Amino acid sequence: METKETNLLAVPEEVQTEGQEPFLKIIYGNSESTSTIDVDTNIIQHGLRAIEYSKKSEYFLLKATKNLIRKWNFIELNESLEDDEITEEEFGEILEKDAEKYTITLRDIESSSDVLIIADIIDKIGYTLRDFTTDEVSELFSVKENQLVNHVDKFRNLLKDNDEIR
Amino acid sequence: MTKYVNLGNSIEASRTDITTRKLKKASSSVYFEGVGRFFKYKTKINSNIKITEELVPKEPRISPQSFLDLNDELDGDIFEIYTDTLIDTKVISNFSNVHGIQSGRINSFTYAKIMTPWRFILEQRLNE
Repeated sequence: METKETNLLAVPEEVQTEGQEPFLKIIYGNSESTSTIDVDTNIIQHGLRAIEYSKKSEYFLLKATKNLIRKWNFIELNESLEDDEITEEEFGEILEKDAEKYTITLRDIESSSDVLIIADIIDKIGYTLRDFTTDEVSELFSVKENQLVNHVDKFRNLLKDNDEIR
Repeated sequence: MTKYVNLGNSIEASRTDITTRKLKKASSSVYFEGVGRFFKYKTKINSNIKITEELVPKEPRISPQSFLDLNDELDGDIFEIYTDTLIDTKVISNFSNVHGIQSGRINSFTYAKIMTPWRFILEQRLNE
C-alpha cells in the first residue's frame, strides 16, 4: 500500500466523565486549523463485535461447505471399496495420504458464542437445532459433540433459570 | 457388567460384539483433534453392543462419561458408532423372511452411544 505524507495530525483520547457514557475524543488538524470529533465507544464496541460475528459466521459456513464435500468424497471412496474397484489396503492408503479431502476434523469449541453463531446459521437456512442430531451438527461445523451438548445444556439451564425468576 | 438403555449412554472398548437389525454403511471419516481418526457408523433399529475386551489403559478416549467395564452393554434403537477399522458384519438370522439380523465382532477401538433409546424408555423419561 502506498503511503502519502501529510501534515495532518490526529490525537485520540478516551474520555470518562462521571454520570456519562465513556466516549472517544479525536482531535485532528494541521498548523492552520484543528477539529474535534466525539465518538461513542459503545458504537465502536458494537462495530467490533459485528466484525467478529461476521468473521466467525463466514468461518463456520466455509467449514460446513468443506465438510459436506469431504463427506461426499468419503461416501464415493467407500462405494469404490464395496464395488471391489479398490482393495481395503488401497482404501486405507488413500485416506491416509489425502486426509484433507476425505476426513472431517472435530475441534474444541472456543467459546459459547460459537454455538450461538452455529444456531443462527442453522436458523438462516430454514431449520432449527432440534431438526438435527447433535452428531450431525458436530460433523457439519467441525466441533466436538460432547462439548456441543454441554454448551446447549448450559443455555437451556440459563433460559430455565430466567423463566423461574420471571 | 451392566446394561445401559438411556439416551446418551456410551461405552468405549478395545473389542466389542454388535448385533443389530441394520448397520448402515460407514458415513464419514472423522478425526477427533488430539485423539485420532475413526470411521463413523449408525445402526438403524434394535441394536445391542457389548464390551468383550476393555481398553488398556482403562481410560475413555472420546467421552469422559463412557462406561468401560467388561461385559457392559448398550441396548436401544439407534446407536452412533466410531471405530478404528471398518466393521464387517454377517446376517445371522432371517426368520421373518424380511428382516435379517446383522452380527459382528469389532476387533479394534470402539466408541458407541445411544442416539435413540427404546420407545418405552423414551416415554418413561419424557413423563418424569
